[in-house]
Formats: sequence, structure tokens, C-alpha cells
Amino acid sequence: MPSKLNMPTVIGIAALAMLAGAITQRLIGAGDATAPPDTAAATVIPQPVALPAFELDGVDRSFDNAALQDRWSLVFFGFTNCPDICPTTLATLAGAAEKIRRSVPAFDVVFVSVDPRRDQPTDAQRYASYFDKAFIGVTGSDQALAALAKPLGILYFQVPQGDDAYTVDHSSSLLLVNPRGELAAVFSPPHDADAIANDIIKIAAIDD
Amino acid sequence: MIRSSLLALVVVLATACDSTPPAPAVSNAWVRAVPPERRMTAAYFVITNSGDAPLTVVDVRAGGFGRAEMHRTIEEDGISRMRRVDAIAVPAGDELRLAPGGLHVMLMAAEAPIEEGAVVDIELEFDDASTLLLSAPVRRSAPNVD
Repeated sequence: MPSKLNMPTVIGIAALAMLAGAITQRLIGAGDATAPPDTAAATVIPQPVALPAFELDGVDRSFDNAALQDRWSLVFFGFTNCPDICPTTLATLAGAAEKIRRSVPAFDVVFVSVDPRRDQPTDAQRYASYFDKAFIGVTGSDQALAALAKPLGILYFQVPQGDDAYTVDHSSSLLLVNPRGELAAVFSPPHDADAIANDIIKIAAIDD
Repeated sequence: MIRSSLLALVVVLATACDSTPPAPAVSNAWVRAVPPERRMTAAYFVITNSGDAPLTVVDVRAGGFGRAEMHRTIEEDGISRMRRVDAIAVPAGDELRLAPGGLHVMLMAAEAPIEEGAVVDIELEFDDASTLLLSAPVRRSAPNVD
């Protein structure tokens, strides 16, 4: 079972850690070696938290916590029948990824479809690859998706649109996972390619 | 003879000015290219209303698509929501931008792959029943403007 981690907890932990960090620094008069990087778009979590245990489906293979090890990953939740915000975000991330890889070679973008009723893993993968050949597309059963999304405070729900059609409202935050599989930072919209790239490069540099 | 023709022309022009507001104009139109198996996408453009009366788009049609609707993406509490809108108003002497992450025309049930280089013909219908045709090239990203 996933650890009991939810967004209020994460924010709480982040706030406490920030406070603790500030106090420690004042007490020991430390330099800024441990200070969070000065980011433009990212909310950095000072003490990264392990992701819940999850297992999603990629094309012909599973995609689980192990897949996030030893590389930086930026995770985006969406769906392929999304005409506006999903392709816009993925196109933005394609621009960011190109820049990030020059400094952080082990960097993945993971597109998680939260619409498994319509999206198979191949749909998610083809969709992601269209924007950048190296992007990863995955999905999973409702339960498997919830195991990852719910503890992280990622929301998604189907909204009827007449006939048998529906759209999916979904969290538009991007989650940055560090090479130890921990949540390191969160990006809130609007998403800007340069800001995302610069922040991830800074965060990765400090982590090394 | 010439005189009466001129007079007639003046009358026609005056009538035209009286009854027909300046035509709305559309610029920077584009449709987002999507993977070949996808059957929906979005169109974006800028509508300029140089007239002195507001204009309202009440319907939209697109060649090669079974359905076209006006939609708005709303970012609310960190959640992206897309909702249909029945009409979009362009104030007098102003312009309205349909752009990624906001207002857009959602194109559905494509009859063919929506590939870069294609052109989509879109017809806008206004509340006075007048229509405007525009051609939107299919592109991978917005044209660089401004």
C-alpha cells in the first residue's frame, strides 16, 4: 500500500522543513549550501518526499517506482482527447526538455493519461512521442492511477459533454521527481518552457 | 448618363454604409497538428471588430470535421477545465484572441489526419446571421506574431 502521503501533508512537511532549515541556518550561521535554489516557477520541496508505491502500464512493460530511479522525471497528468491544454503543455515541455537535456542528460517527461477508459498505453505513448520522441506515455487502471495520484493531491474527473461524450478535468501541475524517486518540486500553471528548464537545471545542480 | 450613374453609385455606397457594419477581420489563424490517429484538435485566431457595434459569434463550422464548438479552458484551483461556450462576443473597436489555454474552437470528428501543412476552412456565424470564412493552416505551434 502507498504510504499515507497527501498534498496537505506534503505542503505541511515542506513548510516545517523550510522553517527548520531557516532556524538551523541561523543557529549554525551556515552559508547557503543548503538553501533552496532561487526558482522562477517551481515550488521546491526542501526535503523531498518518497512517492507512493505505484505500478502503471507502459507499452509492453510496467512503469513503476523503479522506472523513476537514477534520472530526473517531470510527470504530467492529462488525456489524449484533450484539444487544448494537454497538447499545449506537452509542446511547452518539448521545448523545455531540449534545453534541460543539455545540462541534465538523464531527464524524462512522463505523460500519465488519467482517462484509461479511452486511452490504452499505446495511445498515451504515441501521443507523448508526437511531441518529443523520448517522452514516455503511460496509463493504468483507475485503482493504479489513484495509487499514484491521490496521495500527491492530483485530481481528475470525467465531466459529461452531451451524447456519450465527456471531457476530463484534471490537475495541471507538473511534478518533478528526483533520481531517488522522490517528489522534489511542483510546477503550477501557467507553464513556461524557459522557466521550467532553468528551474530544473538549478534544482538538479544543487542535488548533485 | 455618367452623372446619373455616379449618383446611383453614391446612393448605393451610402446605403451600403448605412446598413452594413464594417466586416470583422480574422488574423493569425492556425490549427494545432496532432498525432495521425487523433480525431480532434483546436483552432485559434484573432477576431478584430473595427465596427462601432459589438459582434457575437454564435456558431462555427469547419470543413473536414464532423463537429466544431466554441470552448474555453479555465484554470481554477490548479485544475484545468474545458467548457463549451454558446457565444463569444467581440466588443466594438476591439479584438478577441483565441489562444492556447483559453478560448478556442474545438474541432471534432476529423475525416482525415490533422497533419502539418493542411489547411482547415472555418466558417464563423455572427448573431446578425452574417458569416465569415477563414483558412487556418495546420501547424505544430503558434505562428510568431506581435
